[in-house]
Amino acid sequence: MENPYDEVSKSSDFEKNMGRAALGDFSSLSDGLEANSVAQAELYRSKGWVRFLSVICFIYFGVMAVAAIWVTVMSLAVAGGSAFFVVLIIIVMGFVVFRVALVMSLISSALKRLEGSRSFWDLEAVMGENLKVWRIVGILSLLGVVLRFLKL
Amino acid sequence: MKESFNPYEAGQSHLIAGDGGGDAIKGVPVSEKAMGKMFATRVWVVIVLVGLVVNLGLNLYEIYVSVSVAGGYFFQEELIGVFVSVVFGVIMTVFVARYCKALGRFKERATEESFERVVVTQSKVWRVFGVLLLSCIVFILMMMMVGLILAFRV
Repeated sequence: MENPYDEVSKSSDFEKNMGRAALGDFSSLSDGLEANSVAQAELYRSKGWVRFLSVICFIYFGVMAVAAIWVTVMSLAVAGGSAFFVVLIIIVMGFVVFRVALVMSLISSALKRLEGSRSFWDLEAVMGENLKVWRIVGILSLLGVVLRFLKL
Repeated sequence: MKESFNPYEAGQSHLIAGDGGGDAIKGVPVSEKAMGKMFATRVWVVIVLVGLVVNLGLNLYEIYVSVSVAGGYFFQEELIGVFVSVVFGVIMTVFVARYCKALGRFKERATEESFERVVVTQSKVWRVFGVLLLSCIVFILMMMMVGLILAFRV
């Protein structure tokens, strides 16, 4: 059980792990399970592709930001601001795309750190960010299916 | 000789991780927290897989309706677009299904082999997504160029 008055347990994940490691506490490690050289090589190989996906998402976010500004300006100039709903949808979608791009970028950075340190908390960070990406994609997927059925 | 660990010195993480240093690739310990995150990922991967399968089914249904029932409702370019999305959908579904299966096996029995399988399939998913995204960009650019060429010809 976590002690709320313990300075180590209140700090960030990294500081917590550093504190744990410095105290010689490896209690959270599973019994002997390790990422072998093949698994590590595959993880490091995927780093470039994850970075590429992140860059594409950032570009897409930029395009959406420009589109939002363009629609707002055109709407104010021609239709007196009636395209507010369209702008709102573009902003929401842009936020989601930015979030995906950011998390993908964090995965890539965590993979780079893991390659240098080969420490268990960097692997934890990779798996944590990976979970976040799949959560966002899962929610979008559910939303996509609902919208497809509504369209039918 | 085993190196000693100094918690106040930078660049000692390889000692903390317990691999003892050295140039050869040694194993990275997989913590229970990392395993928990991988197990939690599986739920979302299943949801994505279901979404992909449903979308694939709806796309196939759309093609069936447009070709046989409505007697060619789609323009040729639209039909090509739906056909390409079906092909991409099949490829993505196959790779996500493999990843999901590997996560399921890892959840049943957490061994080094099952972990390796998860990482390999996960890496393949990112690679395939990257390649498909690249193909999509190339495809869109090609369609735009064909459209422009046809417009200037007429």
